[in-house]
Amino acid sequence: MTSSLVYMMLSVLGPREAGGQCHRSFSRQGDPVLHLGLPVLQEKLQISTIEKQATTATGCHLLIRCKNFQLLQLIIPQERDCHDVYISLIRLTRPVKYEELYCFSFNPKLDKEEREQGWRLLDLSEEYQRMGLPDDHWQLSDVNRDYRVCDSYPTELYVPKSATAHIILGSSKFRSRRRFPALSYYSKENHASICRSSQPLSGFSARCLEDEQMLQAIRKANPGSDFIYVVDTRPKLNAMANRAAGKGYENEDNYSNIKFQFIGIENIHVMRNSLQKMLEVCELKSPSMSDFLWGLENSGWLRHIKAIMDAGAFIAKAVAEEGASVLVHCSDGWDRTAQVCSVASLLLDPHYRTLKGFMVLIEKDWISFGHKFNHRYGNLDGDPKEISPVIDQFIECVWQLMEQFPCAFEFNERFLIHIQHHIYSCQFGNFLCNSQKERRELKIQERTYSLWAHLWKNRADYMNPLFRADHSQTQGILRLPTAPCTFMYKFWSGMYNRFEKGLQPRQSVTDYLMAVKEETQQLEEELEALGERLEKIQKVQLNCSKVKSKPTEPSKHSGFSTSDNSAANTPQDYSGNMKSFPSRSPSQGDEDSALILTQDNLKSSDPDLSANSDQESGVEDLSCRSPSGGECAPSEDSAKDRDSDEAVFLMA
Amino acid sequence: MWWGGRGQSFNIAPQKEEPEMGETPLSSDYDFALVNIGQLEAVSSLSRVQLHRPGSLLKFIPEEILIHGRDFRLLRVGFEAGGLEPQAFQVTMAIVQARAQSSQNQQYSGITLSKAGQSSGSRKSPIPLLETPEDWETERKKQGANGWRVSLVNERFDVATSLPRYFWVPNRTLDSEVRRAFGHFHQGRGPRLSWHHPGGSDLLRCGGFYTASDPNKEDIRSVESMLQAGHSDVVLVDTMDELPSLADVQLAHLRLRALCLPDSSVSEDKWLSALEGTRWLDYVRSCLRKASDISVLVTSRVRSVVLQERGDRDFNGLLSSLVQLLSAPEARTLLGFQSLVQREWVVAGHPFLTRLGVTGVSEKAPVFLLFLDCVWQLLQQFPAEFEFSEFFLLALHDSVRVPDTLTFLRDNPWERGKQSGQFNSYTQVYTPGYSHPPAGNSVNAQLSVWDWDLRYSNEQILQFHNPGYDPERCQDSWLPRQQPSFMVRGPPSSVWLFSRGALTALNQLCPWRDSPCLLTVSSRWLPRPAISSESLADQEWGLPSHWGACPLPAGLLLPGYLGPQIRLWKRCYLRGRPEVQRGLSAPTITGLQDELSRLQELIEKWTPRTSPEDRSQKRDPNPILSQSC
Repeated sequence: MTSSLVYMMLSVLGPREAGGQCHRSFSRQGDPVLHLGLPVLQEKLQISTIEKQATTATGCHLLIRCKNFQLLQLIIPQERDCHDVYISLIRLTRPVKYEELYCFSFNPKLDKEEREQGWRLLDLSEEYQRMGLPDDHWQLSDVNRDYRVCDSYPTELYVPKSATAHIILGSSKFRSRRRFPALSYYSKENHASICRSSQPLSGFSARCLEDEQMLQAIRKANPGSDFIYVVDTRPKLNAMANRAAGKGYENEDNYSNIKFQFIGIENIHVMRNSLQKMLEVCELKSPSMSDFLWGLENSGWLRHIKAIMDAGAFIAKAVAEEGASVLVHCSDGWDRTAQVCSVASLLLDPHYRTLKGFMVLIEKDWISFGHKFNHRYGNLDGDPKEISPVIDQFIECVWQLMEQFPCAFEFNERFLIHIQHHIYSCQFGNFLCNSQKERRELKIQERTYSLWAHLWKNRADYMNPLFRADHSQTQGILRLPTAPCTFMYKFWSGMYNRFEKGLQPRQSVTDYLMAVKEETQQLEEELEALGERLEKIQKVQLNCSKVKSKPTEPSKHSGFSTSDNSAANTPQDYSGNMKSFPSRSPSQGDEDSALILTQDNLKSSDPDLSANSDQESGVEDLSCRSPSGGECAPSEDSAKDRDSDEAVFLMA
Repeated sequence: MWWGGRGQSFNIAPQKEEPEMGETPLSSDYDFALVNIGQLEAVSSLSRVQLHRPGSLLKFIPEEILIHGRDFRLLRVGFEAGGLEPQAFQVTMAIVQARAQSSQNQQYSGITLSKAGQSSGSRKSPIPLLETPEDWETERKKQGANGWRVSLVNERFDVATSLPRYFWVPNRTLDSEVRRAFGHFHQGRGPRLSWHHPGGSDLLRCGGFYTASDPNKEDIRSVESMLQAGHSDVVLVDTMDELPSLADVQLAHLRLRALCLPDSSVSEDKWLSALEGTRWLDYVRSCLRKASDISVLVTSRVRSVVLQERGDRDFNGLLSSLVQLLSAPEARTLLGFQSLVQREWVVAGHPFLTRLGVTGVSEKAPVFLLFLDCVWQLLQQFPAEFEFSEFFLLALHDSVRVPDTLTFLRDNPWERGKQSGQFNSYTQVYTPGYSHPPAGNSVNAQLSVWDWDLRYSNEQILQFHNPGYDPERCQDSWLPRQQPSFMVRGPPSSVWLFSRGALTALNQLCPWRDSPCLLTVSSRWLPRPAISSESLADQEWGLPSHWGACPLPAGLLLPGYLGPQIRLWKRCYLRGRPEVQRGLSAPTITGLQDELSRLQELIEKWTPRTSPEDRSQKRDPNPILSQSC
């Protein structure tokens, strides 16, 4: 049952109406894909909910909603079968142990060394060094060694130099889940910093001297400003309600020199419902203009996105323009705080707008600071009320920024979509568990592979062709408009409708530019190789001619060749090689992302495929391919292309 | 005094009040046609007053004048404090008066052409203006419309003043028949060929049947044969069905403009529903949808498709042009598109002046701007298929109110010709093929809006080209089906009415009493009943066409028209709001240029250089890069 089910599921991975295919694959013969089993199903389908719908003449309908916003409809002729499928799917897609997740069985056939290298690709201590730490004001604290103070924090934390262990401990006791203020971002130019924590346990009147000293220490660590902002990212009402539970927010009277600020970002439950409403709009078969616009507005989704952006912009402005440090918290300091801190960092520092910088940003503000990936994205069966699209919102914020600043980001939309996909896919170990501590206990790094290495390896697919490192946009802070303009925020069709081929644009300028760029690179390399070969030949000829002592001929030869060469060097006006939009058009690109795992599987189970691409024949290979280079560019091929590019490069 | 647009401003020293105009093209960012002024506001720190008439009193000295353009631009003229106040007052009142005068002279009698325009005495129009039979004949041949001929019957505008002087009618129809048949259509606008599909179908347009008339059998026969155009399958398309009325379009456009004003009072949370409330996007959507369906009708089998709108001057033009853009790669080139607009809008008698101008309020409706929006949507969806760029559409959008040429400032070709003195003597002696030289004082009739170089710099004109356009792709895929276009004698075997997204069989082609009934005629092809959500393309080529499972006919584009696919043309409508433009990384037209030139630079940089080996396979130079305008 299970295996034919899996087979069936795989066969319907295509379009949602492909009910017809089910009949064929539902014959219980052969079970050809028995070995795929649960984990693959998990990571391929990322089933979120399964709904049994009314039986019709055609059969029983199962509606499967996936976490990657895919919607599958299965039509199964027999009611009994349908029920079986339903029951087994439910059971199958609710793993209870981490070990059942795909990443523990996923094996890309890399050796131990390569795997470790993958995990070492990003190094947070390096990132802190890049920020200029430690320095006169900030130091690495070992107070959380072995997670003694806070089990959801990382061990490596930067705190103000003047904050003693006593102060930190005291402060941690006064903060929800002991998440004391720690550094998230540091601007070495003006010494302003962004710190993060959880809410204080202030109730209606409680005080804590150490916590007050902690905030003082943060203020003093920034000699340029005589106050710090304390930003509570919750709506004021929510924060007040928390006071009744002995939690709450900082009282400006108790803390000297703070400016307290509420920024109303709603809680995870509101966000979950909002997404739900928006997805309902996405599910409409043929949405009219008013269905779409009203539905989108009523979902409130874009309003929430804007709230997060506004909070990020507020903090970025405080740090960059006022030179003031900011302490950010929400309730526990792992959802809204992570969103806001990372958006602010992204606005402030161009480094985070590069491919690697962005990965570091997620590693720092989300993974290391204990964003509860397992709970929020439901990797293991758990409380459905804990599930909420927190990091999805951050990723969308980045996309909205990319739309507003098209030249400022080194990566493209596909990069974001693939990251989102893998947060749910559990193919890589990065996003497992709820904290660093849990991940260390599970020995994630020894037993699974890192997504970042995988993305980095395929980075050519994720480059934004419009990125210009020297553009004014790419330097310094990105300034969001202060005027009210909701219309800046758009519906992200590429994410939420990514499986609706009909809704996807069929041509994209980005892909076109990428294809042209790639091809040009190939040709330039080829040109270079040929140029060198020519030189060699000329030398040989020269030698020959010297031997033969015929002075006229070589000069003729060389003259001819050089002119030829220079002609080839001038920018050509030939449209001959301008490619039509390559097959990696968004619609297919999206199919790409839907089926990305197939390709990953292929690649991973068969690393030789890409690895041993004939290095010898690189040049010939290229010249054969170049005329059609743009036409066939699924990631596998491009990976191969790159390999052979490298081969050429090596030869050259 | 300082001038600024979109939040950016620069100072002009007081003594140099007239900026150097020497080489500046007319359509710089700060040129504003008087008719373009939609709203004029004087602002001081204390108050804010709207100025309507020259009589309206300005009781204070303004610090700033805000000029809201009908084309969504916003011009801010600021006056620095300190010695300039009287001038501020004078300048403001001068603008108010000039504007009032221009709106009094409704006929634009005082059209003043720029130096550039007048100096270039006789110049060749960049595209055929379709004012001579030769132009029509050339175009007919280009389309391969062999069953058609150019009719001279309206050369003196005595069939209908709103019709072009020349048009295409079936070969077999005599001019006398045409004259009689056209009399039975609203305003004499009988069926004419719009476009001949290379596969054999014909797209026709005509006005509504003039039901009050009582044509004899002869006339009915010629009307029918003209509609049938030699095909056995005829589809009448009720153009107005499911499309907005003129008043709807006008209201939507006004609402859209109000919404896009920088100080619109719409609250942030309500932006999307307010946008929906304008209905503009919905109208764009219905136009695209209908055009998509009609192109399926034209492409899927050989037949005669007749667009019928009562007046035949608004949505017929819009749909006919959209259908051609969707089905004919030729129409997506820069020249092709301009010819298309010239043919289906300008010459076909779209009443530009009434619809866009200041004459009367009743009949105003920016149908043409709606069309441009539709084209922009197509450009968004198919960025590789169009030779022209968004910049070109913007330029065209802004040109409709520039009083330089008569292209958009007349309601029909007759008035246009009258003004230019083109046929001063046509009432006296008629000489075929003889065209009079333009009379001394009047506008050079040969100048049209298509003479871009009069108003735009070469650099700007270069930006009209879409760097992503890939002509080869289109040429390759453009393989006309060489089906014999057989001429059927006798009545058509099937007649359909296309309405509400489905075909229904018609009993008779014409509504008149004597019209022959077609009930007995068996139909060759019965459409299966449409499923509500199904598009015509799905019905035609199997479900669902957008999967790409079944290849669409070559050259045909099927636009998406679901809610999420229709976008707001921000670069046009939100031009007055600086924060948006920053987002689009092109705060001004100049910024847009920069952006485009950057893109082109990239393209140039990345356009594959042919290696020595490849040079033998040299192909045509890339038009984008080699065009030296």
